Amino acid sequence: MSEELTITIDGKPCTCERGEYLYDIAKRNGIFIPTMCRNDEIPEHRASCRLCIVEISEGGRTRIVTSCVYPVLRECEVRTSTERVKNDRAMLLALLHARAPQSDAIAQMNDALGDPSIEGFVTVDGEKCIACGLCVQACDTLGASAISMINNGTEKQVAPPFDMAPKPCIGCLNCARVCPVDAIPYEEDEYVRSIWNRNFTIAYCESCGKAIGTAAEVVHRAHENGEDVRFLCDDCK
Amino acid sequence: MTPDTKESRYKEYLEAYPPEQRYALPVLLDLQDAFGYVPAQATEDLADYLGCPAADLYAITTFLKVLSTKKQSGHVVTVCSGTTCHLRGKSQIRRAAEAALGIKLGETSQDGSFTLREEKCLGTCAFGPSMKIDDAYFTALTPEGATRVLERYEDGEDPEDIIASTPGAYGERPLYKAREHFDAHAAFNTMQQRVVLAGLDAKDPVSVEEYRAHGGYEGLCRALSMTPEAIVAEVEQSGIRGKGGAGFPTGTKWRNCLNEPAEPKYLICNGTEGDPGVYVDGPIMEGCPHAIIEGMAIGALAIGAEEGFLYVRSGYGKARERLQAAIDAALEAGILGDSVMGSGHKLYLRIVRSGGQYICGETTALMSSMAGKLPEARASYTVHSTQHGLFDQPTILNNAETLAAIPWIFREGAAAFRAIGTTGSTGTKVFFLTGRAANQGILEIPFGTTLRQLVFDMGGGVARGHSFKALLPGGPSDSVIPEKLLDTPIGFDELAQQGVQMGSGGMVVLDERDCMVEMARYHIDFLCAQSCGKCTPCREGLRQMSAILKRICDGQGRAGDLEMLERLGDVMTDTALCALGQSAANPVLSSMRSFRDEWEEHVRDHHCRAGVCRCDALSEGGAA
Repeated sequence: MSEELTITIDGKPCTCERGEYLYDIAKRNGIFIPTMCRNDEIPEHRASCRLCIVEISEGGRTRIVTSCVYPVLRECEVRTSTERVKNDRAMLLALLHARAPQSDAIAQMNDALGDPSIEGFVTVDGEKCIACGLCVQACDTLGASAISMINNGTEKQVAPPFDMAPKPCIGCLNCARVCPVDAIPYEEDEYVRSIWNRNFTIAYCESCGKAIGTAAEVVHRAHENGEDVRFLCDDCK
Repeated sequence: MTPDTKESRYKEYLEAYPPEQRYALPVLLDLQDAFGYVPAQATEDLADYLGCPAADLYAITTFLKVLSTKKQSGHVVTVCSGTTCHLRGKSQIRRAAEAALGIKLGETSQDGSFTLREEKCLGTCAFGPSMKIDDAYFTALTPEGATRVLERYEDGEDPEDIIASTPGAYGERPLYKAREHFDAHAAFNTMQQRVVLAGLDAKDPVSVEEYRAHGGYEGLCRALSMTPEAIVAEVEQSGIRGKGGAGFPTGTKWRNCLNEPAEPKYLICNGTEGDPGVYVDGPIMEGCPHAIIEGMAIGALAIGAEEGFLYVRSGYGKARERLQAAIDAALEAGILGDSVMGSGHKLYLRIVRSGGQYICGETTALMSSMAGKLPEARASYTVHSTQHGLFDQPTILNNAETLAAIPWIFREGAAAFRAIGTTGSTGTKVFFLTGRAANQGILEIPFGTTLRQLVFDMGGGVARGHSFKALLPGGPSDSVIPEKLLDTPIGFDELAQQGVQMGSGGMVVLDERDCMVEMARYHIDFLCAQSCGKCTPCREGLRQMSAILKRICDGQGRAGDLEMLERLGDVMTDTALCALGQSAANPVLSSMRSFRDEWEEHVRDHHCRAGVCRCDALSEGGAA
């Protein structure tokens, strides 16, 4: 029972369904909004990086909202790069850059959209992670809930329980794959994949010989789907 | 999933609760109490039992300060770092304790005989600085006094003897009375108007008979004769607004929940005040448990809830004990249970211990925590808890003080309630007056009383020879009130017009001995440790603010620091995910607005006029 609405983003009329998120509408219409913590594969958006802020005028009120979780319910006018948005976003990038000085992705975005006059911040030396939480969401939805966001406040970080090699981990690599700043290290050769201090045997399709992830992952998926464990790729199944 | 063949060492703690994720926090707290930490194996076993990931449980354990992954053994020594204890020299007490025990904060001595920690706050503001050793409270401490007490514990003396022979020592937390004995300032008592605190002088606050002798449960009787619609209308007409700080109209909240078709509906009493220097809900829960129960029963009737929860801060042992005893007494008397006062309405109330952190009182974090998940704020522009609240069901969440005022409204009528206070803020507000105020304690005033009356007439001003400087209302994320605003009547809108918030009821008085910059730093450091850490502006903005403030307080302030603080603060206010983050910069921004000179002196001259910061010593040494 969807209802169509037309809103304006940066002067461009955009049609959308009532309740659709602003970010998605903008993207569909070719309007770029920067973000770090949003990923199409993860249905629930944590809205933690705040980079996708935009300015919205609606019902006589103008304010900053986070476009990835802002549902459009009525006609509104959206601007993605007003002075206020640019200024706020530049500060957020400076903050992320200070938190994760090792991240090239953040450094590049900061070069493009940041404000060089913001300086003198304390840095978290050696840090690459921006604590966006995407890896944990990926682990929960696509993996085996092996890691979580631990601590709180300024100490927040990603870790497996008790900082030990996480037993439930299946080496599926979804955490590292969705990470927007490549902060999760792993190594692999043709036999073994190493991540989170655990080693996983790489599995190959018994029929065509194609690599099909780790053996632990194949077993996990089979259990999840209530199927027998078969080392076959999707094509050969 | 049920425990498999593997026999769990921790079985009895797990099986005290049904195997549902919502019981994660209660079990973790029980494990902490029993073992002094949450062991890794217990976490694994609990995950198996509840059928949830161990990673989720570990996240909760590391998030909440009341839980620990490292064993805390021996005597647990807790130094209070609440606002008042901070002003009165908690740092010296901490250093004395560290020296006496030979360990740092957060450590356990090698022989395992002492663990040293700090907590904000112990709820003994009027008596601080305070230190807790196991269950005993030592108040009005000097560093020497603290050392002496700890040495006696080290010598293995019987704690009871130590408590008995130490002035200001109590076997359990000293409680506050409604009327304190400040002979010189009778106004502390006479200017009060008691709607909520009426029961605070009760001989036995748990007794149903005593509560009923003073009109208790008459309001519920009246509500039982009314339709849900009429109950909600009465609350709307009373004009009562939420006392937790935001001031949202309670009637509107109840109406929104009433209008929701989904069942079941829940009612939650928020009793997890986590602000340092705010001690309002604690005394109400301890002293007036039946008023809260009655208020909840009326709310439950209004929305058709059969189950209610009291979310009580972990450190409030006495409040939990009394609330539970009062709930049991109400069940016994047929006031709660399968048929509320014989009406056929069913209502059960349960107490849930909260993690006690500041963020735990935020609506979405609170409901997430009650569902057994991480108490993180959740981004949502359209979902309201009256629609999708606890366990995704329609829920009313009211502050303990708000609920405790409801019975009065139904007993005396909405019009009588409206007659108290101002047009926009009806009824009364409970405050906890502390800091440098001459008279300290809990008090209840009608809205419309001015801040000046509160501080000077009731609080007796500051001590002789000192001069009033500022007032810190509410918690760490509320604004600073300078002298020139003291004639503002206390009310949500009246204060908002002056750019300050009502806050949750803390009122910390500062005098010329207190440094505004250092106070802002104290609050920012508190928030660094208490924020959920989810979004960039709050987590990283606080980190940078803390670093800049440390620098300024150490006499290393640089040109541009104040402008950078303002810029950071504006972005945090604009872009943070929840109300806590959006107001986290308030202690800095509001203080800089009203006390700009003092801030500039710190940065420009490396001078602290209150002599609190170490600026001067360092700048003399040539530090830039």
